Amino acid sequence: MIELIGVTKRYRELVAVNNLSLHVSRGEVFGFLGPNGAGKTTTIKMIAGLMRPTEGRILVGGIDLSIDPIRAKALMGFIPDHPFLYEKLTGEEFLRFIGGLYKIDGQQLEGRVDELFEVFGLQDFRDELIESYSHGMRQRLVMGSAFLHHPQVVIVDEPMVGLDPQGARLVQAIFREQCAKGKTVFMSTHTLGVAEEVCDRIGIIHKGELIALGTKEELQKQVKGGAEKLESIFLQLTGGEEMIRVVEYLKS
Amino acid sequence: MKDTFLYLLHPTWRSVWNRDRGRRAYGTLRNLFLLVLGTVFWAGIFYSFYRVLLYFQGVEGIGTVLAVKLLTMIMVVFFSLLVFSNIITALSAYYLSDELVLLHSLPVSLERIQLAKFVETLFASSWMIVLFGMPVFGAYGVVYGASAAYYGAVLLGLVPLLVIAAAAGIVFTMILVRLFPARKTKEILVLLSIVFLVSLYLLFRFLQPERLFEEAELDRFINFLAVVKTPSSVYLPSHWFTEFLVPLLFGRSGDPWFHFLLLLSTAMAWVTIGEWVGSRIYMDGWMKSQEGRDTNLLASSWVHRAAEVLTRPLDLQTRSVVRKDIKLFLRDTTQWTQLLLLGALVVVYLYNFRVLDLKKIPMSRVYLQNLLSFLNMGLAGFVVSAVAIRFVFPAVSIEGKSFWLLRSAPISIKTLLWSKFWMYLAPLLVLSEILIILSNWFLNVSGFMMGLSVVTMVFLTAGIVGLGIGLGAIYPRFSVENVAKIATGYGAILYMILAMGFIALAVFLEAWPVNTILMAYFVGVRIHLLQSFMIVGSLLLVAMLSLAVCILPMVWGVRHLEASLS
Repeated sequence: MIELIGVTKRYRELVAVNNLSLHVSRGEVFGFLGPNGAGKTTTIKMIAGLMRPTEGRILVGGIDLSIDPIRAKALMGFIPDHPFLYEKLTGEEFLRFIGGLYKIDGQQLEGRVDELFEVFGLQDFRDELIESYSHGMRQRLVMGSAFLHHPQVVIVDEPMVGLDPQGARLVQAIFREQCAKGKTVFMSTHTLGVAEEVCDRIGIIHKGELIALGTKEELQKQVKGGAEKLESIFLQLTGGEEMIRVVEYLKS
Repeated sequence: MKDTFLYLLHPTWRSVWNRDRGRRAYGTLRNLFLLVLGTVFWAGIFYSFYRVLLYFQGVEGIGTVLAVKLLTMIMVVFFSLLVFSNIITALSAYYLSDELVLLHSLPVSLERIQLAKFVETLFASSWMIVLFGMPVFGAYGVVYGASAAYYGAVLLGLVPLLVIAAAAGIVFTMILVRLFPARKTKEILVLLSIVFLVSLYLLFRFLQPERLFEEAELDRFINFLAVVKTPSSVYLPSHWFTEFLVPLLFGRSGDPWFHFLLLLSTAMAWVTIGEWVGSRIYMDGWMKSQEGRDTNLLASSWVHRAAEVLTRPLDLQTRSVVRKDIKLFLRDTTQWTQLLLLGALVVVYLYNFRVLDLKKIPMSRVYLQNLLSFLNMGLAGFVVSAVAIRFVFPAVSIEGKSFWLLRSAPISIKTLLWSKFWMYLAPLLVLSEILIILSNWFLNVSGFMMGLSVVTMVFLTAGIVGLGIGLGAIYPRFSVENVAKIATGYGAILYMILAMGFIALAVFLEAWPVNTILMAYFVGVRIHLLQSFMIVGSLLLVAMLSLAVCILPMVWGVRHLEASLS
């Protein structure tokens, strides 16, 4: 459903993503992990069509983003890490506006808006201006807007930031449910517990390169001593030695 | 509608509609205030042009020539302003607006986004210029008894003219951003526009327009205008617009429709060029603006070093806050460039006193000098408060989204606010004393007035700064991204009203003692013991009033901020 073929992104001398090739299937929840500055957000922005790769191709649902971005975007729902919202619109006005852009109208839109406000627990705030929303409420509203058009692929950058435990649990449930319906979820996260619980497969990017890919069990086999927890696997693969240096420094 | 580009503008107009939701009273008050202010300004423009054109009409032989020349010049300025305004607006609308990430992630074609942004830019950059251009066209119509066809032609011709200015400005912006990063382009344009404004302001003042009230000077000006070559070209759309109007306005022969068709076809050509250029370079420019990491223009290390030396005597916490504020100020081009405007304001203020010819006023010169010096205290106070509303009042709000950092640090709100107080008091005191000492020196006032003015300004400035910081803390606007907007809120308007009231009251309290002392000094009237007490009492009252205006808002500000955050 999502295919990256030899994708590279350079910012002048800096190589943010280097020759990344990846295939994410229909009905899969894919976790994209990596330390800060590893190239996760750049990759996600390229898949969402907000950045162009310096080299390589990206296909969503078989559609090449560089050839037909509009059709590719119509298949996707994108949830950025710092989403933009129109402060002076109400939650409902915002969802209706997004609905219009995805050409959802009339009864279909009415029902969908009601449903999403209900699911995301924002029913009491639908007529409030977004400027009065808390961080978590904004996050829920953005998720609602991303699911409004029943996307085939959901691209999420840090979905758990600012969500309370109920919200986080809800998002996990929604991702699994989407997956059961044959939809694809591509998410980057630092919340390794969530990735462990929700993702079918995990890719770890470090310094712009994909250094590990597979199910949790497959990743376990790639590290020394077959670490149990995803956190240990992640640290071993992405610079546990740096962490050890920090701990040593703090001890001194 | 949902399939058209207009749908993308839906959140914009809806946001305007929702702007004052839940604050209807405030919204109505503000709109009323702006309406009155706008109407007064509008009427002022109309009246000025009406008088000038009436005068031109009376000049035999060349009256109409003068009116046409003036219209041509106005249209060149009008068109230049429109293009420049479109360039500035297009930078934000096309490249820097946060909304773009959302729009570009949606399945919306680039053509639709471009068209929506074109309309947004055109409206945002043209409405004010058009609104305040209307009284000029109105004055021409009234003075020269134009028919309805003239007014229709103004509206008809304006449409392609605005489209040309917008499309040309946008294309120019796209090329600029292709060459330089968007943020750097914005900084350069902000700097250029401020330098342009300052130069225009100084030039206008140094031309001494007040001399035009003298008959001989006015005649000389008219003769000059009649022979001067108009800075226009037959290739400029502003020229075609003028040529479209002139035959209808003055009943002269000409080719109005030929010029209108020139406007129309050029507008269509520019839209096509804009669409073509946009489809080729816009997306690359926008994506590049996402990656850009720019440095600011005023990065000179000596400025920062000077700030470090100056703040060394302060205690560590105050010093840290002050140094941080200075750095942020110097690194924000929209902030520090205003110092240029401030410099121009001071120069013009002092220049006004320098060229003041007291001989022309039929009053005692000594009395007049001291009377002006006395009124000058109020005037300087108003100037300082006008500067303070732009810099001092937003001092708390500019902490913005990073305010949590200070709140989580072991620094009290009281220390924070007083740090800001001292930081702004020092430069404003220098400003106010420069204004008062130099203007008094130009007026050649008595030693008593000089001393009284210098001391009074210390108290007035302290009051203005304390009131600004205090009210800024009572009405903070942490979520406002554009600093200039902080100075337009309810709290800012209240601050301006209170500051003016304070200055007026302080000057009023000093009026009687000053008059009594000056009378004693120049006329030889004796001051009784009771009068002496009353004089001292009045002056003490001014000092106490200033301290109260300074300290009380600070205390309330600390309390309010603590309560709102607890």
